[in-house]
Amino acid sequence: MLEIQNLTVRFQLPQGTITALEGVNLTLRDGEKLCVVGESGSGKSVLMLAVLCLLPENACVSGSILLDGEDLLQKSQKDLTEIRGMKLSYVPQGSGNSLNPLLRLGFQVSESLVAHRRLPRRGADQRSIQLLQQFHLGDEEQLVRSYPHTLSGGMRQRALLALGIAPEAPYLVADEPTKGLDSDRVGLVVDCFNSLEGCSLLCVTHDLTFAQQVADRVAIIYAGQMIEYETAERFFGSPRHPYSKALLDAVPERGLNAIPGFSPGHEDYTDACRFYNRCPCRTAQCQTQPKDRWDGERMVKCIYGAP
Amino acid sequence: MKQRNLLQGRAAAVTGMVLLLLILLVAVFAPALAPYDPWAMGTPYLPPSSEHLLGTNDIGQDILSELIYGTRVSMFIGVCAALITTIIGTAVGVLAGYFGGIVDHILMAVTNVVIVVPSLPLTVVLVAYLQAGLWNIIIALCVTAWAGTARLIRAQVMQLRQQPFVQLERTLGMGNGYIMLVHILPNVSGIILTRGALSVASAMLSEASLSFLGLGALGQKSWGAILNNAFFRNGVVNNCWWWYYPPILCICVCVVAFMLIGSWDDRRSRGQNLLAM
Ligand code: SF4
Repeated sequence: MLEIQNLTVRFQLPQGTITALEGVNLTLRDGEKLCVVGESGSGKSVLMLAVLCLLPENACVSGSILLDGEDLLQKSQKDLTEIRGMKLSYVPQGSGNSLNPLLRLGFQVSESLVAHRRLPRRGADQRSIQLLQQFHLGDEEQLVRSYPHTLSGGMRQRALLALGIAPEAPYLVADEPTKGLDSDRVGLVVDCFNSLEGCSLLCVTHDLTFAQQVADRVAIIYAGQMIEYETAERFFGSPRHPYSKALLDAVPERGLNAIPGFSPGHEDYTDACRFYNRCPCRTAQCQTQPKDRWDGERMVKCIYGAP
Repeated sequence: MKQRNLLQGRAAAVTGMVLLLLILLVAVFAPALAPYDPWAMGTPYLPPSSEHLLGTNDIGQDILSELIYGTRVSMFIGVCAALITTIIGTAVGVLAGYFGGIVDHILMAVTNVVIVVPSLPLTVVLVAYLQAGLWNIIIALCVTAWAGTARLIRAQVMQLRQQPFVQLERTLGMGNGYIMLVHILPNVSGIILTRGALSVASAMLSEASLSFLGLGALGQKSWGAILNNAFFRNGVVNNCWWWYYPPILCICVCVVAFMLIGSWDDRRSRGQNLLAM
């Protein structure tokens, strides 16, 4: 079980302190698939990096991130090295240099198996081929011997998925795994995630259609705060937060009604609800920030969210 | 346009390598190539002739033979010094760049001190204190030369450390030593090779300067030592151009060869340019 308790992340910058994430509480149960949804800049990637303990040095983190009861934020680098290889695995974004340009793909896909599971090199290449075949990359035998720059963006994204699931770690963290993939290929990712048995998934995405197909539970992040935490079923049926409603209305299948306005910049945070300026249902009460309203396992941060 | 520069770079490097190959062949087959024993004495101050292609020196030693044997000494000193320099520089640069923080502060403090120390005077002083053996010269040449390489490599590694694939390795639970060896080193190999070649060039120049000043390895006929002889044993006064021009030319050719190799923009260093974008 992964429990994030009261997680706040601030960055010390020369211009001042930026609060990227504020008081986030959420739980990822064993075997559950949680999608964290938000716009870019909302703080969802910061949440993911915090879980991976990869935040840059100028970040101040408070709160706790408990992985099976052990606080990752208190761990030494050495312990983290062990946890990461065996318990926590990561699928990075395909854009950018997520693969070492000088090493063959097969080597990189099964690298963790060689290092942690002491798989012999040749067996590892076999395993790489199997893993890649799952994502229909085509001509996998050839592919394991090629260098990353020969892959297209979509291929690289899928290769990274293969790499992420290779260690068969009980926790998988994925960063925008469908970015740059067409809908058929997104289907492959969905199949892959749904076939991961016993694996808990924390997936950061802005693709709600994808989230609907894999998630058991959804967390919505807006302007550094978690504003709704809900089972996928209920969320996609009747979202409670006005922002969630707006997000769902903006999905192409539901008519592409974009939300007017922009999310506030870090310098514009006030005491009011962060969604105030764009909210169609705002009232005078919203001038003070609403509390996280928990009701069992669901949460909404809005004055209208009474159970 | 870019393509053309690249080809030119490759042509230059190939030229350098051909030159180097020739020089190495001369060094290896020195006994077969040299017409005389470089230590054997004969008629002094002979100008070039068919018998002594480059004449003789003040005690009648054949200069061509001295030069051919000198290739061995000069190359050995240059290559060894460059090797040590590059290994130290790479180790310091990679460690400082990868770990950052306090490790970086300490290593860079040392490096910066070494960089500001004037290297030739320091080397001269060191050689004067140590005994003038072959290895002491090599050590003295290395004492300051590694700092430049260390700085370059550190800068590159600091960029690499931020690259997603290095972050990914960490999330895969790879140890720091493993990441540095398998993922970082290959990505700086372009710089290492280039700097290594340039280090040979500068080590050979420094060695020549030391030998010229009479601080070279005792009893070893390097090119610098021949030059020293020509200067201090009346070669210049007697206008024996065949005595002092050829070693200068040899040093130049060697230095140019290594510099041309150092200009090589190989696939790996281009990979780094990709990274920098
Ligand atoms: S608290 Fe008010 S402003 Fe904020 S989302 Fe709810 S209704 Fe809108």
